[in-house]
Amino acid sequence: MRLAILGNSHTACLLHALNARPDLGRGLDITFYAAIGRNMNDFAVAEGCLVPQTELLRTSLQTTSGGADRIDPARHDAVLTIGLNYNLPPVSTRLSHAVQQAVLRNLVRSSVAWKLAGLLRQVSDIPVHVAHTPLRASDITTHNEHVVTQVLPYDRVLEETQAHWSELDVRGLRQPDHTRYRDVLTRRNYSRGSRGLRGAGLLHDSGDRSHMNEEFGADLLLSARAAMGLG
Amino acid sequence: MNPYSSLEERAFWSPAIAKRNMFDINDLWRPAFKIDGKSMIVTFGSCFAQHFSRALVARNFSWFDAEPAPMGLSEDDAKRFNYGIFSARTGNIYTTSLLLQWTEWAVGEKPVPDEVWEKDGRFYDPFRPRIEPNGFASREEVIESRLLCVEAFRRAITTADTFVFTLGLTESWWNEETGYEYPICPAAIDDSFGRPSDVFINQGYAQISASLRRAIGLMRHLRRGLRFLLTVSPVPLTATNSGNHVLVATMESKSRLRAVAGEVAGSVPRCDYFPSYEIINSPPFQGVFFEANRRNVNHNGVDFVMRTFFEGLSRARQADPAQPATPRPARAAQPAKSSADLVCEEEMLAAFGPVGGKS
Repeated sequence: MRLAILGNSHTACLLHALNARPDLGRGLDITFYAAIGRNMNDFAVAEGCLVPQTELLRTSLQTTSGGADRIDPARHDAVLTIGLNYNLPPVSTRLSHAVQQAVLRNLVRSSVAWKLAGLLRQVSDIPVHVAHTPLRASDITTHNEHVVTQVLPYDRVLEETQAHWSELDVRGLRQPDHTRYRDVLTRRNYSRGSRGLRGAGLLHDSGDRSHMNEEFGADLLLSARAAMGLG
Repeated sequence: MNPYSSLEERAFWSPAIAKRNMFDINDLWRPAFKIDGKSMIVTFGSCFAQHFSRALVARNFSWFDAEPAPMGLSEDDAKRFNYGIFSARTGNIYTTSLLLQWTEWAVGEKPVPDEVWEKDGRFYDPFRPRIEPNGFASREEVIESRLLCVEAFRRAITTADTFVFTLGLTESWWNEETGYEYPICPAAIDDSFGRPSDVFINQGYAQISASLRRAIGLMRHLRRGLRFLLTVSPVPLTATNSGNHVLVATMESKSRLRAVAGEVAGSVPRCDYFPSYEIINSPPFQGVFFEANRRNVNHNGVDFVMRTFFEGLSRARQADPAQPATPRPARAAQPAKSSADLVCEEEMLAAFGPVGGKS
């Protein structure tokens, strides 16, 4: 299967996982298309492809894909996105249902992942899987217990957000259960030693709670393989 | 000795007003206490209070939002759901008695009521009738949201250094049975919300003053030394139930509010008055700060009011070198919005007028 992985800085955990464990890529011909922050927002559709509209994005694509200056869906059998500002922070159940819905709608529809999925759907019907930004890694103590009390359960959030993704015939990926902590956070050990995109990857600051390490990347890839029927 | 001979120019009409272009009239306010970038400020009150929060945020003052929009909500939705308008999602607090009511709930002096209005399967908060654009999904949701707001209002009090309150109305609607006050006539929102127990009270000076003093006292039990900055909304009434012509009713109401604000500011320690009302309404400004409907304040008026506010702070700082610098604007100045852009339940009354349109 020819798989395109589109993402921002969160792509790094997948890249480093594949470098460390080549078996994770078995049966897959993977091409990365990545740029940090919201730079992946700067695409437009032309001639059946997603074409970068800024030089910064073009350069980033060439660097991460090994030379491609555009994303041609015809060259891939499936797409997996990771991060791309599709974040799922805890949503309080004390908010009205209408506010909860508005939050979840906006988390999906204001994301770069949503925009890219929409552009892809203009030119292709290949399967698209969307992995949200890893849940924030945290240690809950009595001081911050409120962060995880009275919040929407993870399953409910996935269900609500999937309703939006389904409009684009896109499937949301579940963060593996064993990587999660207190339902809506990531276990702290998965953020320790996380690295960036460049080369072997620079270590993130030790206090970084949003980027995950290659161990997390490996677990997420296994989950993605299962979702794509690769086992 | 003639006591007037040593007074400053600002004490005399001719040099301070008559010989000046209206836009050069200045030094209208000298702050009674320091407000700087470190002061935590909260804002509540009538529609016009919203200008203070916007201007404070734009100037990088420390405006405290005790009930911020949840992470992930878009700016448009935040406004639609009334986040970031006041320092908690109280909606407009038009009267001093409504301020007292919120305060009594926040300090635990009185229980938070469980009254909820229902229409066509949607549920509404009588004390914040427009806080959710389409009402709530259930009775429990209304109560929970109200409790959340009361907690936030309490947090605003306990966190603030300065509490800015804009007095807006004297005309008020109460439930005679329960003793609760509503921010707007229930039947004006929807006929089905009206009850025989709803009574109209046009509050007099004594009631307005007593409520304000009591609210200040209760808040200071929670937050010792809390300072108050009072203003009076210059925006005329949308409609009156007093039996008077709306112009007469407006002048009477605003005069009472202005008198109470001045008297309280002059007699309660650490309490000040800021003259938004005079800037917009006094004759030297010839009504130029109103929109064509002669009710809504235009952006020039809002600009002038806020400029006067910040110049007053700046002048006080220059007079006292020990005071830290006033924060500078950190973002591109947003054009001031007219009061037509504000969230104002009172405007709903206009829909019930004989012409059936917005004022």
